Amino acid sequence: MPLSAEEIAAVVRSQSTLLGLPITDSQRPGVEAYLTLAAGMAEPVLRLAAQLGVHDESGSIFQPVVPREATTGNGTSAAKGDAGGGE
Amino acid sequence: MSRAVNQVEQALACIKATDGQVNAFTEVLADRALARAAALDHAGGAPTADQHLRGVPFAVKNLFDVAGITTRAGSRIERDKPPAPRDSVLVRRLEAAGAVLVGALNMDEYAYGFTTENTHDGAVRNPQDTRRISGGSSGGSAAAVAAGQVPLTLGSDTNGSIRVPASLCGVYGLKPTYGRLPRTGSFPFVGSLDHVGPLAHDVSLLARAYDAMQGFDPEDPAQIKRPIEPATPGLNAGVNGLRVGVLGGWFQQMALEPARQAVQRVATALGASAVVDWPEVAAARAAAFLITNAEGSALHLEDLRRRAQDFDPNTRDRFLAGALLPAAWVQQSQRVRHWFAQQVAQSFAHWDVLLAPATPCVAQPIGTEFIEINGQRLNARASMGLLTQPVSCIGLPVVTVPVWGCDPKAPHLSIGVQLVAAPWREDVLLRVAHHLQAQGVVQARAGSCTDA
Repeated sequence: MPLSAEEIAAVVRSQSTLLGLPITDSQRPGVEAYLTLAAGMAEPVLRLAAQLGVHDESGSIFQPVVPREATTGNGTSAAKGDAGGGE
Repeated sequence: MSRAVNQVEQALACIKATDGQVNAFTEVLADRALARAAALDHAGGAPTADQHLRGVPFAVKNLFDVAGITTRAGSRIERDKPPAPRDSVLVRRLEAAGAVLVGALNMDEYAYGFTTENTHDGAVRNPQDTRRISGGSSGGSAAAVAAGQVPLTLGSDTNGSIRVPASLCGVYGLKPTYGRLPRTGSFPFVGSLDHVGPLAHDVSLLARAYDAMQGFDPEDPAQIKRPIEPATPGLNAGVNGLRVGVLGGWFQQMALEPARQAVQRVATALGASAVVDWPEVAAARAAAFLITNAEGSALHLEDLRRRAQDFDPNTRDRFLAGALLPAAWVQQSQRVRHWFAQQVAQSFAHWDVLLAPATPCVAQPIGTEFIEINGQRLNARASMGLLTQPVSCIGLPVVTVPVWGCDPKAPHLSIGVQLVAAPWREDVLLRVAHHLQAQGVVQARAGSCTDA
C-alpha cells in the first residue's frame, strides 16, 4: 500500500538523521517527491523478490581480485592481463 | 582520403559555426587536435591495417578523462579537481587507430538524467529542432554527431544514456554488452550498470570505432576477459537466416504510436512479425531505477553532506532521496535483476535479434515536465528511459537505429529502434544495422556543415 505524504516525510526525517545527511527546507519537497517515486518502484520489486528462492543470487556478484604480479609455485612470475589486445 | 588536418579543420569550423545554437561542446581542443592531425599527415603513406580511423575527428562526453583538462562529469563540484593526468583508455585506443580528439561534450550532471538540461553548462539543443531536448545523459555526444560537428563521439549508458539521445537526435548508437569495453579513465555513475560506447553518423564507422576499442584492461573491475571479436569483417553479411522478433508487452504499452510505428517499419524490412514477451519487465525497470538511485547517491554521499547546494537542482533532490533508500530494496533489486536476466536469456535460444523502441516518443520541448503514456501522467525526464532501462539492467548489447517521419505532428524528428541481442553478439546487431542503413530504412541525418 502506498505510503502517505506524512509517512514519507517521517521517513525522510528519520533516515536523514540516521545517515547524518542534512535536508534543507527548500530541498525537502523534492526529496519527498523522489522518495515517493522510489517507493512506488519498490512495490513490484518486493512482490517479485518474495517469490524468489534462497538460492536466487544477487545480480551483483563479488569477484576475487587476483594480484597483478602473481608468483607461481616455482618462483616465476605469471603473465599479467592476458586476454585481448589491451594495454 | 583527405588529409587529417583538413578533416580536423573542417570539424573545428563546424563547431565554431553551430555550437552557439547546439551547445554540445564544453571544451574544444583545437591546438591538440591540429598538432595530432599534422603528425598523422607527416607520417604519410597509406593507412596501416591498425589505423582504420585515420584522421576521423571525434569528441567525448566530458566524463572521459582527457589529459590536461579537468573531468567535470557535467558537474560544478568536479571543476575544483586537478586536470586528468592522461587520456582515458578508450580515447587512447581511438587515437591509436588514427582518430583525432577535438573536444569534450556536455552531459547531464553525473550522468543522472535523460534530457541534458544541464544547469551549469546550459541545455544541449537538438540539432533537428533547437527548441527540443537532445536526450541524455550523453546529449552532447548525440547532438555533436547530428549537427555534423564530428562524425564520431563517445558516450556512457547506465540506463539508456547512449540510446535515448541517439534516438532523439537521429544518429546511431552502440551500447555494448556490460563488461565488453573498459571504462578505465571515465567518471563512474553506477558501477554495476555503467557501460561506455560510441555514437556515429554511419554504421560502418560505428563498427570500426567499436572494433578499435575492444580489448581487456585490468583497471576496470567489471570488464570481462574476452577475445577481441571484430564486427567489421561481417558487416556485409546481410540478414538472411537471422531470427528477428518484436518485443511486446511493456515495450509496446509504454510507447506512443509513433514509436510503435518506428518499430513496425524496421520489423517489416526484416520480415519480422512474431511478438516476444519478456516476463516482469516493469519489475526489472523498477529494479534498475532503485539500484541507480541508491548506488549513484552513495558515490556522492560526502558531497551531498557537505555541499548539496553545488549540485544541479535537476539531480540534487534525486541523489538526496536515493541516499535514504532501505538496503533491502536495493538488495532485492539486485536479486530481481539476476532472475530477469535468466528469464530473458531463454528467449535468445529462439531469437537472434529483438526489436523495441528506444524512446516512448520523439524529442520533447526543452522544459517539458510531464508526458502521458498508457493513460499515466509521468515525469518526462525520468520516463525517456522507460524502454531502455530493462535492457541495460541485464547488460545486453544494443544498437539504436534512427527512423524518421513516424510522428505526423513532428515529421522532421526521429525515433530510434533498439536492436537487442544476446550477450557478446554486437557483431549481429551491427550487421543488421548495416543492412537497414543500406536498404534506406534507417539513416542518420547530420547537419549541413559536414560533407559526409
